[in-house]
Parts: sequence; structure tokens; C-alpha cells
Amino acid sequence: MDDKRNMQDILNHSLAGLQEDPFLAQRVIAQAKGEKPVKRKISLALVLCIVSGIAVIGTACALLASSQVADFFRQYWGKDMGDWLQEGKIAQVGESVTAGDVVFTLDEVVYRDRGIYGVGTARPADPKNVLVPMDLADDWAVCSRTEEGKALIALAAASGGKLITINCIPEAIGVDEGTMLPVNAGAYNVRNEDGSVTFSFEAGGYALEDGETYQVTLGYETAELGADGKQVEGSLKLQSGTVSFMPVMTAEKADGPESAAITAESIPREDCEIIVPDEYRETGTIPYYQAVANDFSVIARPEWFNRSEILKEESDTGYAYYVFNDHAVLDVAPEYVGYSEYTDEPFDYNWHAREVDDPDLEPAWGDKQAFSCRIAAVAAFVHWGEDFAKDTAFEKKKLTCLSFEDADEKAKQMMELLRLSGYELTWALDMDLDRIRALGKEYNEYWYESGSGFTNSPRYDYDLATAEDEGYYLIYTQTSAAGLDETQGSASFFITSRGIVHADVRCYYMMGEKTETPDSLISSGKAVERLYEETARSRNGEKVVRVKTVELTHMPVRAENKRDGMVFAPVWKVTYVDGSGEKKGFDSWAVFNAVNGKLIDAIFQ
Amino acid sequence: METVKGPCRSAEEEITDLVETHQLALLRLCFAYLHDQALAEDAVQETFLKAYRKLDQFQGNANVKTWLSAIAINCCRDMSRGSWFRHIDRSVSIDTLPLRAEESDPEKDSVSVEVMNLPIRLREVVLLYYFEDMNTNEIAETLRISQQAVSGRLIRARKKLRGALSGHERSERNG
Repeated sequence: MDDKRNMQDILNHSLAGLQEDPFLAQRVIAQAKGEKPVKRKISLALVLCIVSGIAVIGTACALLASSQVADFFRQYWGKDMGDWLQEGKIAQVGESVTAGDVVFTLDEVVYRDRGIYGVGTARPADPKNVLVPMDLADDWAVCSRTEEGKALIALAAASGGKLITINCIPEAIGVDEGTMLPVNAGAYNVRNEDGSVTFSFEAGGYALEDGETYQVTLGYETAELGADGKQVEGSLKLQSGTVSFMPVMTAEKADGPESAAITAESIPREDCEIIVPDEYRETGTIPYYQAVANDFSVIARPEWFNRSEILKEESDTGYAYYVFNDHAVLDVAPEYVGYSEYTDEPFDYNWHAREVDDPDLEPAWGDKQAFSCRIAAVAAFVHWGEDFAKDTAFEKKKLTCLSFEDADEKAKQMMELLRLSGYELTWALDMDLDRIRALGKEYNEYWYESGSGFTNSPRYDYDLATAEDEGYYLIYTQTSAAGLDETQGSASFFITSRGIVHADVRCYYMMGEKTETPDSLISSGKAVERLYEETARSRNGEKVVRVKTVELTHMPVRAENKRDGMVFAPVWKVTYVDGSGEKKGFDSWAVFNAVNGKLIDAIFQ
Repeated sequence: METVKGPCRSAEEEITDLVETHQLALLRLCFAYLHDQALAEDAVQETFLKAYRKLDQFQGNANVKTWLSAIAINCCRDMSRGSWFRHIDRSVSIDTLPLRAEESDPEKDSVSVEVMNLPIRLREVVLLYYFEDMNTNEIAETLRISQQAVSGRLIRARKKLRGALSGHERSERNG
């Protein structure tokens, strides 16, 4: 009990700054009595309007041009976010798509600072059906576990309709009819009282840049849920459609005062490493290159990975999936090749979730990942930089049955077959018996025992490894281009005496012929200045503490005339430390076009 | 034991009392779970709304505080399932704790931060067990997991927190 009191005392002390809301009870009662649900921040805004006549007029004017996107984000993500979006470029869209018995209407989109924010409405095509926001029905907690979910299951049962879960999220974005680039996006859906679901999304970063028109490919997802709240097998339907719109300004944009305060003189002079190619040292510039979209599906051959003959094959345009007689699996997409070994033993991929979370969870059967596959995962985990492995480094150039040179040669042969050029070895780890056993123990502790991580992958006893399991984990990186996940190529292999037993190869664009060479580039100092400007004006940017490196390299971007496809453009990649990074020990980065200084992507985007 | 309904009290009076008595504790619980003040305030509002709607169903078999904490933790769970919540790095540091008037105790704050940065599955059992004073059976019912899973998670959490707690204990003894 002393422990409990101690902990209560500690948390109460640390959270003493939280304040009670004197109007909370009133708001709860009002909402319970059927007034339109209002979130706390909206209520505060309304209170302010009532007490100030001037504020009422001002707000009324603003409401006339009020953005639906701004209102939604204001309600769920805060007033600042809503106000910021209200100052963006707004497009009323109103386009509808029917996907899986659901009519999705994209109502409005806002563009601001290389980010797209959208709101739309999903309605059941058959009014008997009941829609469920996808967030209520994810893998972690099925619909039946939440109060709202239970009510919806009951509603569907009463109406005799289907219970359909929905989601809508951007998959790719184009600017001014240029190349559609894949995009990382977030989505949030809310069920409305009339049975519709308001879906919303946010996407930003590399795929977006300033333009006049935007094209967004939206992925529409629907799936039927059973009376137990779980997804009905085979009911998941995926559909895509592209919407084009031209957003326009409707409100004055307020620049932050700090934007104007950034000057070259105000930036601290500091020592940072400047990395440039020899060509730049000699000429002061570097050229553009063609960016040729890769397509492994027409290059990769299954026999390069496995000679046990194909047991099962599924393929579609641009994609192929092979299961070999020894149960290894090869997965090929235009920009990706993945190869892993499996066993013929059936394995329940819900085992751990059932053990720690839900004893009633049904099994999810699949082939069991082979020991080699898990040893490769242990090595990859070291590469991620987990604490337990921070002192682990390459040691042995010779294992019991394999030399580093042989492994490197096998990897290079595979990369040559896959037509990868400009890839250099950037990380390597020798997985000898002692290391497999020692790291495997830590790996098991992390994922299965400490609660730090959670996985349903099979747990192996790494003490059972033999000399035949030893191998090298090698990572090769497309070093000629900037290091962004979306564009940079990488090839990871786990190679044993049997050959490549695990591969993860990614390449979106190959560097083609040299095209034009700009007369001059902005300097590394100017790139640093641009970093300070952009972090100062960004909603998410933290203050720059120090710049570590400024590297001149290439990155695939849309050509100046967007309809001309993609080019590898000269870019400055600035690696720096911000406030959070200083405390938590991580680096941040931003990439600027070295010709015109435009921000291409950054961690704060 | 505290009860919810008195003989002649309206639901409005009951909920107003509950808000006055438990709002701050629930806000701290939700903040410790969600690491975001605005989300925590929304979770507390949602908790009282659900409590108001279920006042009639509350049998008084459970302690009111336990009942409200159970609703609150499930509201937090619902909120944390949102894809955006998962997308954002919500780790906390001493600097991101809510500002307060009184002087801070760095040792206590550092323990709090350790607790709040526990993986979510461990964090929720620690908050319910230590902060909300629930027993493992109540936690199992609240989180809809087995009692065995609760005990396992508490062991794991204690193991992870050992460093932080022992540091605090050392400083208490030295002080």
C-alpha cells in the first residue's frame, strides 16, 4: 500500500499543473440532454463570442467563409489547427464515389504549407446498413469491445442491415497533373447522429509542393462486420479513385513574426560538416539526371532466389507473389522485392495477443516464419539502434561456413541481376553463433517479456542455433540520392552458407542519363538559412539547436514542367538537432532544392 | 463506500457532485495516459457524459471512483486507437509536464515521466493499480483482459520502472 501511496503522491505532484474546468458539469448536462455535441474548445470559443460584441461580429464574418475542414480539425485537433487551416487555400469538391455499398463524398480540401487536409461524408447506399468508423474496428480492438461499437452492432441487428466499417485515405498525390507520388497520410473518422460518417485525412511532405491544381488518389476501404463485431472474412473491399481540384485563398494568411526575423546575420555561426561531390568542388554545380521509374516486376525472376520450384503463384500487373516448394515466399512489386523463408508448419499469428490481451481471440493461421527469417529480424533490429544492441559492431570477416567476401559477392550479384547501380554497403553485421544467441535473448526479452514491444511473430529459442544458421546481414544504400524513405533505394540481405535467405530491396527510381546542368547552385550557407526560415514558420518545427551536416546530393523530384515526369535534382540535405532531439538524442533533417532553395521535405512537415 | 444516487437527488445534482469530486483526479489519469492536455480534457468530458447516461445502471456495487476510472481509461483507450494518435510521437519529458505554481521535485517528475512513457499496455495497468488503487481483478474487468495478464504486465512494468523507482527511493533516503 505504501508503494501505491508513493506513486499517487509522485503523479499528483508532477500533474499538479492541470486545472479543473468550472463549466464541465454544465456542459456534460447540456450535451446529455441532446444539445449538439460540442467539444471543450468550441465551447470556450462560444463563451468568448457571447461576452464580446466585437468578437461576435468578427466571428460572424469569419463564419460566412468558414471552412468545413477548418471547423472539423478545430473541433478534434484544437483551435490553433482550425485557425491555421482557415488561412489555407480551400477547394469545395463535392465529388462522390460508390465503393462497397457506401457512397463517399469528398466535401472540401484545404492546402497549406505543403499539406493537404480533407473532410468528406460516407453514407450507406442502403439506409438499413449501419456505418462504423474504421478506428472503432481496427485489429487491436474489435468493434464489440467499445460502448459505441456495441450500440452500433445492436442498431444493425435491429434494422436488419449490414454493419459496414469504412475508411478513406490518400494513397498518392499529384501537383499540376505531374507524377503521382505515394504519400504518407493520417485519417480520422467520426460517426454522426444521422448515421453518416465524417471522414477526414491529412497528408503532407515529399509528394506535395506549391501548385495550382492537385490530384489526390483516395483509397476507399469498406468491410462488413459480423454480430460479434469482427470483420467478416473476405468482405474487405478496396477501391481507388482520383479527384482533382484547385484550391483558392479565402482568408488573409497571417505570417508568424518569427518569419520576418530570420536573416543571415541572425543565424548562429557554427561548425558543421559540409559534404559535396568532387564535381561541385571543381565546377560549383552538379547536373540533373533523368529519374527512371523502376519496375522489378519485369526484372526479377523467382529462380534467382530459390530453386525448389514454384508451388503457388499469384500475379497481376506490376505485382507477383510466389510460394516455393520449400515454403519460401517471394513478393515483387514495381519498387520492392521481398524474400523470406517459411516452414510448412501451421502457425497461429494471434498467439501472443490471445495470451496477453484477449483469451477469446480466434487463431490466424499461416505458415510459420523460418528460423533464418527471425535471425534476420534480430539483426535488422540491431540496425534500428535499440539500446540493448548499441555496442554491437561488425567483428568477424569469417564465420564457420562463410566469409564476408563471399556474402558481399552474393549480394552484389543479386543487385546486378536486379539492375541496381550506385548502391554501396552502408551497414554490416556478422551474426555468428554467440551473437545470434546473445542478441536473440535480448530480442525475446524486448518483444515477448518486457512489454516494450509486442509481436505475434513466432518466438524461437536462439540458443538452438547451429553453425549453419550463421550469416551476414548486409545493407546497401543508394548513396547517390538523398536519404528519404520515400525515395531512397536500399537493399538488405541476410546471407548464410546456403545463399540469400532473406532480402528486402527497395528502389523507386533509377538514375538515368545526365540532362541539364544549372549554372550555379545556392550555397550550403543559404541552405542553412532556409532551414532556419522554414522551422520558424512551420507549425511543427522546433527551434534549431545546431546544424550537423550539409550534404549536396540528388533526389527524385517532379520536373519543373510537372508533365515532364521526374528528375534527380541537386539538393542540399541538412541534418540538424532540434530541442527534442537534443534531449532524446536524435537528429532531424530537411532537404532543399539546391537550384531554387525550395523546401522539398523535412521532418517537421 | 461512496454511492452515486441519494434518495431525493436529481441526476443533474448527482453528476455535478461527481464532476466536482472526481474531475481533477480523472484529468490527471487521462493526461498520464494520453500525454495531451486537450485530449485528456475531452476524455474526462466524455467520461462524465457516459457516467451521466449510466447513472441509473450504476448499482453501487463498485466504488464510484473505480467506476469512473474504468470509464475514463476506456475513453482513453478509444482515443488512443485513432490513427493520428498513433502517428504522433507522444513521449513525454519533464519539460512537457503541465506548468504548475509550486516548486517541482525533479526526482518525482522523473519517476512520473518514466511511468507515462511506459508502453501503453503496461502504462494502463500501472495507472489503474497504483494511481487509481484498483486491484488486479478490477483491472482485469476494466481492461477486459485476464487477471493473469494483469499480473504479468504489472511484473513487467515494475521491472522496467525499477531503475526510476530505486533512484527516487535513494534520493528520499539521502534527503
